[in-house]
Amino acid sequence: MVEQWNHNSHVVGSSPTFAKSGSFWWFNNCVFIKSSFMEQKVRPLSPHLTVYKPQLTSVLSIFHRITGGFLGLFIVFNSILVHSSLFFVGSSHQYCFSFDFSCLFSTVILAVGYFVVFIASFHFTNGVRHLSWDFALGLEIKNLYTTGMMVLASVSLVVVVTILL
Amino acid sequence: MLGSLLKIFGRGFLHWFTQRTSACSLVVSVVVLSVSNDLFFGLGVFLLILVHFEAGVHTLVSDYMHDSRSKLFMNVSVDLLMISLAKTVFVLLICV
Repeated sequence: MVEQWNHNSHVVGSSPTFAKSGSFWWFNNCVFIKSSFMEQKVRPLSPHLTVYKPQLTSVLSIFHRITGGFLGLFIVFNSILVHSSLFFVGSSHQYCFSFDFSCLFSTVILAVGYFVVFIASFHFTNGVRHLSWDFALGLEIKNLYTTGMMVLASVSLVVVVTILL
Repeated sequence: MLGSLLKIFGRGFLHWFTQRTSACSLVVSVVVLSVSNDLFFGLGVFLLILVHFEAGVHTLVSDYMHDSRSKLFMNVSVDLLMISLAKTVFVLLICV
């Protein structure tokens, strides 16, 4: 038993001297397995946003995830709105309320729309950039910065055109 | 061959593959949709967006949530939302 424990001790990262505790072997073993799982739960999150100096490449990559999260929340919020309007399809009060709401907060709704256009266009163009990396295109440092600036320029162009329309 | 392929898909490759495939399809579909302006095609593109959304959320959950119960709760919630939204899209496809 002792030899087997010495052989397998690296699995749970414990000391082989634990095997000398006789009848408490299973109890100690379980405690060590449990503590190793608890250590896994408090491990640091990835990526470490605060460790590295912000660069165009890393900032665009991080914002790609953030904009994806925002778009996901937008889908969830809109699906709740659609479902609620489907549930109250027989009520005219709900339509009156939504009409009054859209009239009252038209500027806010327009601003949210422009923000969503900005986020969606950024996620789309930067996603195309990520797809080109998956095909091993444009992986040189110079190309990374060039395509990053192209993404920012195209997003600005899309937002300006949308506002002008 | 099939067993090794299934092993690869079981080790997180499915998320990566689904996300990239749906992204490629979305890039093409959005360009086609801007030209065609078809409602049926638009609903199909929305289904693609849902698939991409699901793969993205699963990736975020795998990367940033370490508690197994929270992870399970989020994955099941997203799957239920996906089923609900897909049902709505198919109802709209039938009604239209």
